[in-house]
Amino acid sequence: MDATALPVPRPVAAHAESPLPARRLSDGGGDRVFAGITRTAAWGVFLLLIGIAGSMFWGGRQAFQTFGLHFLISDAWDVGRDQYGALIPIFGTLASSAIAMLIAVPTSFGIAVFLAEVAPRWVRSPIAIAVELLAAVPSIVYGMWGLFFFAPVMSARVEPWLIAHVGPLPILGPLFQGAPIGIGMLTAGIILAIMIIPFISSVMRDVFQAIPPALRESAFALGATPWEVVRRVTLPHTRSAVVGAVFLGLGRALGETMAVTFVIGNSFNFSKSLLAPGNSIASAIANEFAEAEGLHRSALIAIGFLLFVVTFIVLAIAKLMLARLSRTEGRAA
Amino acid sequence: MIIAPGLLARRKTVNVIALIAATATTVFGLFWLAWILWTTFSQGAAALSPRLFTEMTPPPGSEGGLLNALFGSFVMVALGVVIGTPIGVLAGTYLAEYGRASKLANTIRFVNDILLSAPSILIGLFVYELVVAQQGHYSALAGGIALAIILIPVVVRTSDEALRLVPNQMREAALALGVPQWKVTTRIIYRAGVTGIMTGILLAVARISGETAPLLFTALGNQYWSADLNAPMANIPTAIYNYANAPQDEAHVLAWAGAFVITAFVLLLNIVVRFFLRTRTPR
Amino acid sequence: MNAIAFTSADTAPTPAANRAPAVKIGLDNLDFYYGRTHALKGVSLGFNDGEITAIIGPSGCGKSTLLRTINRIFELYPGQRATGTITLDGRNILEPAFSLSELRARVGMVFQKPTPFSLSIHDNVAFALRHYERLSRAEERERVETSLRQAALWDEVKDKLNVSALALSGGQQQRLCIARALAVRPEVVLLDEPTSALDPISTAKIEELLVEQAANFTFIIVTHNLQQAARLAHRTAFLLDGQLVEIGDREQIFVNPQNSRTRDYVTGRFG
Repeated sequence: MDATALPVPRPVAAHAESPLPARRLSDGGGDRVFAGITRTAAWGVFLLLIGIAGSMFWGGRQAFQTFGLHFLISDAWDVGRDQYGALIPIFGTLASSAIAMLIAVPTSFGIAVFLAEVAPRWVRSPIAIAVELLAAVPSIVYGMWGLFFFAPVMSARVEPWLIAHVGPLPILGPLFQGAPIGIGMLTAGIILAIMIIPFISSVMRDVFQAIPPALRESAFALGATPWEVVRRVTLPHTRSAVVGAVFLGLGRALGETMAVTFVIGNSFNFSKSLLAPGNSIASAIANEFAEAEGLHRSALIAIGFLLFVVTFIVLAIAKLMLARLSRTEGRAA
Repeated sequence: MIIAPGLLARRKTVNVIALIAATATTVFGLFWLAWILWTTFSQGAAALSPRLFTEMTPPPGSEGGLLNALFGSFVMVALGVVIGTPIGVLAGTYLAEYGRASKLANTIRFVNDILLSAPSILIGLFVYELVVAQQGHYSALAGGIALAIILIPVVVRTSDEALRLVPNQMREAALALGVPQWKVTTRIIYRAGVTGIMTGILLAVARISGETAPLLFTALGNQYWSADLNAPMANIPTAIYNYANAPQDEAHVLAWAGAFVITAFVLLLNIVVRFFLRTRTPR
Repeated sequence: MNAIAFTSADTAPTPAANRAPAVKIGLDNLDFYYGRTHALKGVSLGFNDGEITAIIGPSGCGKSTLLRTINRIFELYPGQRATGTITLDGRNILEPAFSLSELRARVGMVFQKPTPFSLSIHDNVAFALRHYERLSRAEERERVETSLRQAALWDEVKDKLNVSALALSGGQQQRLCIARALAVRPEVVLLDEPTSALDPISTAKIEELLVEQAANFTFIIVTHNLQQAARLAHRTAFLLDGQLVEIGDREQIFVNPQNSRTRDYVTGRFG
């Protein structure tokens, strides 16, 4: 076709082939309905959270009214005499989570660094997938494995060793006293750690991968060793998000039920020793709720409410920290 | 610039130590994975028999199978999906198509992410108060509702992300034809984002299949066969829980069988989703 | 660096019917704002029925913005607004009372990047058709064929109408988008740089179909390719910094512009 051929305007015969089609025009009604439906669903999510918080508070009100603030620091738990206090479950939750974090955070960080800097390319994907699969294993399986396989090992080898070698020491000593029965706070904490390691390391890995490659590459170009790149480029850039990942893991650990219930021992006796059985909020509820009545039930829901509040705060902090990374991304450029 | 050789050597040593430590922790982490999976599969495989799929759950200590528990889990997961998916997808649609980056939308995303990681036992308690206490009895329906509540945040998040990935040009092209927005969303945008949405649903199914805590006070469990949504229904996680806590060895065998089935299912689903659809978990 | 190599031997077309073309779309004192940015400033011009009108100008001059006001596609984004009047056959379409559905049925749009829907070729073309009109299967197939013929795509796809549109090449996808827009029988078709992402052969095919179909529609085409504007357009409008500088036929704009800025742009002194 000749590229400079000029279009010849034919006589303006508007749409000679047929008259304008009869069209069904819409008035926006369908749009309003659909938008309304989606908005309702979105608000539903919001209401769900409020509903959970509200129903926990409502169910626990009898316990709160009966015991008042003393509830938080009382270590009583006597079904016969209807005396309840949240201290032991709270302590159990916090202690097991603390043990878990002590073990899990460095390990997760190590895995994230390994995947980012050490592993040859062909090994990265399989290991990363393996770690993520570990995160998918149902928690009850961790609990069972813990009860039948890990606890016996703790009882037979680890705990006797700890009692013999760490028991006599000052400061740490009192934490490792008592009979090596295998189940208890320490075991629960370790299993919790194993559960949340894959979770935290996945989030950390995501965070590390979100760094603009140019930053890392220029550090390498200046002659930095891989570890120095991590310490001086990766970490400072992702500091908030790494903290966020840790808090996210903590949030999961605090609320974990099944992995802990099997091995924590379900005892309401307060003991300083980590080797002694204890109780966490989630495991207390799991064990006792079905048969509980009246004030007992209210007390269980009340500690559930406390768990909710603590978890909410921890997760909110985690989200805020993780959100910081995407914001600094924009500013750094 | 001359690099002091002593300094370089020290930096290199530090580097090697750090990287060895990183490798060691990875081996440490993977060691537990290997041990747990090995345990589950060896114990479970030993317990596998066709009987598992043909007989009902026995009293602890007797021989039997897991048929009613398998059925119950299937029913309640299906209930959870049926109840939760429409709510999740619609809420995700609101966030991606209407709310977009508004303050309200971001607040809802924030709340949704907290729900995502909330302790599942509290969700069980919530549904107990809402449904079981009101009705006066445990039910499979309550169990399904609890699972739906756990499924919803996952689906909201993945739907939101999947729909936001659909390029705006497609919306404009469809709207420019004069087709109303709701039709554009449901006929064109959903189709474009269907892979992401399906992935989210499947990952959520994998997650709720393994949840025990929310079922403890809602569906409870049932030693016998039941297809009644308004009555307690057997399910794998509570069956495992009961058998593992029982003193008899035969009961433990059944518990491991259940653990094997649930783990295999969850892992398979995750592998299929990640491998074939290439996506990452919502956190 | 010469612009359009025209000699006066290339005669301007003489209209067979000697009457003034009717103004199909009229812009009167149109202003457009992106938030606080004033993107279009008091633009007034008319687009004639049955003609191809091109809008040219350097990057950022507002030509795409102008196009997007005509079918109110900008309303998808909060913070964008237009003031002034845009008339279609005399009625102001910027009024909220003017049905968006009617507007977009009568004014179609083709975008720079081909965006086929994840549907079959047939379903792509029939998509809007099904929304507006109740047709039998046979009628629908006929309309789809007509549109695909108008878009010069029929011969290439007639045997695979049920195949996914995503399997087509870029040039074919764009022609599919044109067929999709034409299927509803709009009166006006807006084209926003429709060939800038395509290879020369696809570009030529699309230009050919625009010329063939010109009398049946009102085409308004935004292009940064001056040669394309000169090839296709009966009239060309030159926009600069959100303002209309000059509008006229090809003889005027490309050979003898009345405004010095037009001459500077057309001869490539800036752009």
